[in-house]
Amino acid sequence: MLASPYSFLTPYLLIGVAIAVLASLAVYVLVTYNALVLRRNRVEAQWAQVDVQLTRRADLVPSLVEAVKGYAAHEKALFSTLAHARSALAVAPTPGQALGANEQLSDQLLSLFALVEAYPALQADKSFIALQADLKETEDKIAYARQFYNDTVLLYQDKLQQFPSSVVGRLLRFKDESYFLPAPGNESVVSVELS
Amino acid sequence: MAKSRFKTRLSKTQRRNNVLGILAAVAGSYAFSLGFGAFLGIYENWDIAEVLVISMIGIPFMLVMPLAPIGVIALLLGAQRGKAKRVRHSSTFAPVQGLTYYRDSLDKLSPALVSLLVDLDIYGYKDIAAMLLRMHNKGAVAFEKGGRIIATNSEASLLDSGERELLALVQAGKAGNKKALAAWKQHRFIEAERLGYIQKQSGHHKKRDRLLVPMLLSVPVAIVLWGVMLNTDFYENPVPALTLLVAVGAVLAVPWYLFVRESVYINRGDVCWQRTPLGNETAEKIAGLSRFMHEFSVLSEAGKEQVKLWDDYLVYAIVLEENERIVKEICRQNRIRYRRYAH
Repeated sequence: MLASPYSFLTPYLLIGVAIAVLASLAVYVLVTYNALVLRRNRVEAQWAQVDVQLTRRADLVPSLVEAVKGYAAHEKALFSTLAHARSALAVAPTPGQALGANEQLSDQLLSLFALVEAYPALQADKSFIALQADLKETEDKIAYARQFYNDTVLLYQDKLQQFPSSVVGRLLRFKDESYFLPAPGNESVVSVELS
Repeated sequence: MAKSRFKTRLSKTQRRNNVLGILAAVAGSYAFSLGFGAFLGIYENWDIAEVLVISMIGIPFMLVMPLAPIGVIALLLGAQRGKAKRVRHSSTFAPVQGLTYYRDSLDKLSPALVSLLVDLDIYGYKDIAAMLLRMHNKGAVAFEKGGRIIATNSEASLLDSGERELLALVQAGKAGNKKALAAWKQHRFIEAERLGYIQKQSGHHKKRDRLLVPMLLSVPVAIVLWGVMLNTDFYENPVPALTLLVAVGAVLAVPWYLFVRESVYINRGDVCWQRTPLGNETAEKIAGLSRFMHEFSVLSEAGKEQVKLWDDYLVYAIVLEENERIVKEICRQNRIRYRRYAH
């Protein structure tokens, strides 16, 4: 059988195809890496927004405690737990720990507002009403920031878990991000009723 | 600071329709020319060569064949580009602070006002859908089982004037009435002007000068075309003669195109409006919110029942073209004319 006059091209063709495949692969990895970094940065940026609001909420606690102390100074245990929960939130180093501390603070705030029910004079106090309004506004902002945060986590996780970007993600050691979900039985952060 | 522009969508459907429209016009023009020629040939018993070269009232009939499609394309493209230019102009604003993202919910601005500040226009289908969803969130209207909206007659005090007016239309069963909605839309412009977000543009009439250039340009081109027509021997050399005619006709189409484009651009009321400094500042926030929602959320996939969770963010997502699904649903169920996002 006669050899094709172009048979000398075969190795070059193979090398060319291999280079094209490798180049496409490299481009894909690069693009996927950038997309993952972009999404991870958005998660971090949105977490920062949640954190700002959580801090603002925690900063309202001392003023609330001071207002309540004027009427129920004997509830020292509750005030101490509240102070502890607040400082735990302030020093939480990771989003996961911040979420846990936030849950604790929410529980304590619920107890505080349950206590306030017994003091009509406190409920009518102007500074306390203003603090409640501030807290309500912050709770709303936390709720929206949480939704946006969860959406950015969803977009990131989708990219990280879908094939074939999941391969690149695991290879380059991208980590899962956790959603900001309320603890079971505590679906709303703290419901503040404005009188 | 450099000017910014809202990136409003010219939908794929609209683009496809534009292309199909042009193709249909070209095909139609040729079919008309050939059909008319054939008719004359049969009626007058001319042979085909005579049909192709015959003169009518001193103008060669065959002029129609190459020039009509060129003219039609020029007119259609001009109209399309004129509309696009108008939208581009209307959606351009002067930013004040250089915001990239805006994360707050715009101080509860009315959806119609938000839409108006985006491109100085209000679109019945999506803006009314957004208003209705917001009113539903406030408890003033309710969705029936089939999705139809009914007024609940409660919480009306929480509504702004635009919402109250729309509620009256819902109560009267006129939520899909074109005339009533046009009046409602007009009131929103007046209200936005009263609130200081937009103002009438001074010196608008000067824009008519834009028509002078294509008009002046068309005169020498027409003279050249006329000269070519008179001095070309169609009988002896039909192919080069036709080629030359088409080439000159294409040049003539340029002023036609420019004329139509500028006419469509200036002859619309919304060009008379412009944003005030407050309007520009608010438009910048809206653009920032739009970017924020697009990049940091999946509001495009939210259903209308999620309005309780997202509140005004979902309402603004509808106005800012982030969520088409809800618009489609509300419009279809309430007989409001639905269009895809297109201008």
